Amino acid sequence: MTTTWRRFCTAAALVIGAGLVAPTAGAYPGPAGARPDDGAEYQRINEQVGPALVTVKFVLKVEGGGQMSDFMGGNNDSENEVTGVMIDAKGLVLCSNSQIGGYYGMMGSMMGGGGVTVTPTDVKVLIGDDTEGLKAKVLARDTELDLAWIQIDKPGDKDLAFVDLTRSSTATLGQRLLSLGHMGKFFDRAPVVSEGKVCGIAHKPRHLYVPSSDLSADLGLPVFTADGLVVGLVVLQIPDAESSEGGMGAMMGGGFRGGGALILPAEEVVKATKRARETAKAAEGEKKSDDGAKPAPAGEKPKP
Amino acid sequence: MQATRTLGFGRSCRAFCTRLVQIAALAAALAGARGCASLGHVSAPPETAGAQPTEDVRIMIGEARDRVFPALVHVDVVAVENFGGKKQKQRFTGSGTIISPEGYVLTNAHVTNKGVNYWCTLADKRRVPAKLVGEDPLTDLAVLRLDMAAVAAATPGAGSGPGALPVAKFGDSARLQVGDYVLAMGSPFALSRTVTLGVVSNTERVFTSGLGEGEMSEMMLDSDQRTGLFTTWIQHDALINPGNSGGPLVNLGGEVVGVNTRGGSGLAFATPSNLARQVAATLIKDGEIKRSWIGVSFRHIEDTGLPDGVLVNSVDIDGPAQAAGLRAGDVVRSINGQPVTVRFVEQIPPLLKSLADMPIGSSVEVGYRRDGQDQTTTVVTKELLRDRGDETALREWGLTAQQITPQIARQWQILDPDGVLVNSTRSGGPAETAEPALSAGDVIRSVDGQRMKTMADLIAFYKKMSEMKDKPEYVLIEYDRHGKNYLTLLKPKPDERENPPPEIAKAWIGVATQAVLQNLAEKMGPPNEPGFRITRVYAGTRAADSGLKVGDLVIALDGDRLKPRGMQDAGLFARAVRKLSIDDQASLGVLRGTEKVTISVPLERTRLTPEEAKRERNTDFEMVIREITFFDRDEHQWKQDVAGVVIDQVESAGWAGLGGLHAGDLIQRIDGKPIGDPTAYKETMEAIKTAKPERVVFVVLRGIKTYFKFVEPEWGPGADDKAKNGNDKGAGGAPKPGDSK
Repeated sequence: MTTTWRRFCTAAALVIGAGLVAPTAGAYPGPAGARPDDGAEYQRINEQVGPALVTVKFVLKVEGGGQMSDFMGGNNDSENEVTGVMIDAKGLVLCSNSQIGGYYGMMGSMMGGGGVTVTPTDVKVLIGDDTEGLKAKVLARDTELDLAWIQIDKPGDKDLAFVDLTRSSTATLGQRLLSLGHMGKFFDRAPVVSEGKVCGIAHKPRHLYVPSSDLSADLGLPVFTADGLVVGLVVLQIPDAESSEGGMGAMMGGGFRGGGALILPAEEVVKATKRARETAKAAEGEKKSDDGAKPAPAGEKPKP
Repeated sequence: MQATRTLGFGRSCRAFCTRLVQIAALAAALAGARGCASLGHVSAPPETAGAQPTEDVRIMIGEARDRVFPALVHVDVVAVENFGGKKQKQRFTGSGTIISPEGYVLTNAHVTNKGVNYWCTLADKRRVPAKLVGEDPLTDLAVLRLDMAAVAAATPGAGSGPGALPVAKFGDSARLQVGDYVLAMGSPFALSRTVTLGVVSNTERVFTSGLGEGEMSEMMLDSDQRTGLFTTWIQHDALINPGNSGGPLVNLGGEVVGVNTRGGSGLAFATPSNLARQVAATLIKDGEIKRSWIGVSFRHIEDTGLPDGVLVNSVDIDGPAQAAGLRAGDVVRSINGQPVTVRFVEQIPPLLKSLADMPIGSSVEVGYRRDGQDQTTTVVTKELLRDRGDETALREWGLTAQQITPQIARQWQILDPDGVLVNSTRSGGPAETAEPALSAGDVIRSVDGQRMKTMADLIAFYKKMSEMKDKPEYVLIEYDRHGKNYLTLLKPKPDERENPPPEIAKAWIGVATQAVLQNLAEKMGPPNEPGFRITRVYAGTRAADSGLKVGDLVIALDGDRLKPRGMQDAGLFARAVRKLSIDDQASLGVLRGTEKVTISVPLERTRLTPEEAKRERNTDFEMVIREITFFDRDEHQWKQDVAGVVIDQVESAGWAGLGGLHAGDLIQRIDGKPIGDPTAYKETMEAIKTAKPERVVFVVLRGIKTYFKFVEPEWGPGADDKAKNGNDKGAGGAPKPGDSK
């Protein structure tokens, strides 16, 4: 077995384990774990968070060469959809980067360079029971944190329902967590509440909450306290290339908890969002510069 | 994506090999570089009687070789296949023989199949372009014509008249006998000018379905084109492999007695020269072969209990034989007054050929027996149409489509042939993402209410729509699938490349490090501290300006101790830096030898990765380049003064690929102009597109060497469909789309 192949197998195992390749069976909590006030909590999260959950549709273009491309069957386009969460009233949506193609980059990183380019194209955001979708683009992404920010091109005049990530709370070991997700398209994307607990807290490579296995929250979606405060976002965390130099043992240390779906604290998500906006602004500036469009001098109206 | 039929099993090959499993007694496979070839291993050389030929025979072999070998050519083909919802170029190789002083080259149709560009390498190693004269898929034969001006140019003084080219002569394949010595010449696995020796194993080989049925099996050139209907094969054991296809089989008299077409694993099959000569002459004269068709399939009468005649196995619906009242089960006993008896399967190809060779529209008097009664009818032949319909790719719709021919209608069980067959869709493309999605096998009946009876209708609609200023957002497509009629909306969209989304900018220090664990630290000596040893300081970074050196051991960042506990912490230092803010000042606690120093380093933003780099696609040269990144410089140890653009992707059979450009090459100059970045590249390529030179010279850096690559692009409209030096006639004579973009 070559080192690259071992890395590849590990990466594949982790990704599959995280539910990226194999769809997770919906292990939603049964009535056995329910408490007398659960009904009200469930209804509240459904009402408060439900309108802010959106469907992101896109066509993923995979191009390039090397093992990653071979693994995916060469250059390839595929239509996909994931659930994201609106985080401001002007159409900024947050979702898991790995869910919109980022796992190629993550696996490539683990394998020490994938040689493949993955681009989500034809991005649309479907709000509520909309079937057409609003045109959008990926504003920025953070492969390390597994976050991607998607901006709707023309969100309209009305403010959109969103989850305020600044209304957040830290969590403690054993604390109850709630999350809202969507079922698949076949089930008309019916909302589903999931419940679990904080069963661990990691401090390396960064501050992360480890959810109990009964919390079947989707990647890229927020997790709340029972009081409705945001604890964080569910993200995929696997060892990066630098940390995998120790080989399989180092990567898989801790058995099956070598990586997977963990909760990134809301505070970190807010910071990252700020950086994402800055990155997008800088990229937009570069694009204008490339296009030869120079900003009008201050005080001067741009000529038609 | 590329395939070289020299080395791989083509689609027709796979179908053929499936049949091979059934033909246990006759493990044969397609022989050419194009099509299929071998069963996967190289056979041992043939053993001839007496182990070694006598001296006389050796001399004869040498003389035979010298008569044909100079006329042997290696054939290179760039073909355009329609699959995966788009056109895809591929490169194939085969063999051929110069058969006339005018430069006509005989080869296999599965070598030239779907070709747009052809080159022939002559025995004296000159490589000249060629044009397709004609193909006859039913016999798997084709004729190319060398560009005689190029022949003359390649050999100053040789001219282009008679005598400029060596020519091979045909022999009489009917005189071949089992056991005769034969030579196979060609380019096995693209190894040109190869000669092998063997003996004739069988002179009347017919492929049967085996398993006791013994009926003639239907051979396919591709999945949609029958072949070998009229061929009684010469089986021999001169070793042939993929790449031999189209090459000559030569007798010891130095005459071409066959065209090597199929084989492998020590079994080789050649098309007899008597058939090949006739087909080649017609192709040279008319560019195509027109044949008669009566619409029946026959079965030999051995084991049927019938005393004479030939059994009508099936009758094609709406064919001439059906119109004349013939039915399956009739026994044909005479044709045009001549008695006919086909006792053995080997007699079927000649019977089919005799019917096919009649002029189209001939009245054929057929005597047959039904229910013990002899009867007569007159069958008026019709033209035998090609099995394969014209194909095209509608790029903005993300599908490839095909004209429905009678054979395709039978194959796909399409009852109403007025329509266009979808034969593939592009994953993620408009056809596949339509709701409901279109898929291979669907028959398009109408678009936006307009009937689409033929491919020409569909192409005309598509072109008209492509040229519209205000294109409709959707087109309404009515199609049939498995006898059900559907409607769908398809949203046309160009298949364009977009730049990947930007990665969020983070803080970075321009050094590479290794984790120094406790045990290594102790071996390194006092003060025995673990940390991160600097293995490289990147030139031109703020880290380089700050005085950091290779060998420094970073043990703290902004006062926080950095202590790797295992190799899983190898990325800990870089991660800690990324948590800081760009443009902040980082304070590094550093061990330099035994001395502890503090070094302040201004942080900078993470560098662009190759995945994020800006890209440019050039459709003329069929390649994608990207800007050079910091990590490219690091990997290749290119200094800052090394400039250029990195080739990200090259279509292997595109002009850049054919010119020898590879992914990973750093383009430094194009036609003498320095290329510093994608902008310079784009400007240069646009200027080249305007100037349309015959040849463009790329200087690339590959590894530590520079290479000059001479690329000869095709200019002109419809680069997708049209040949550079081939003919531009669509199969079956229907128009091809000028450009399916």
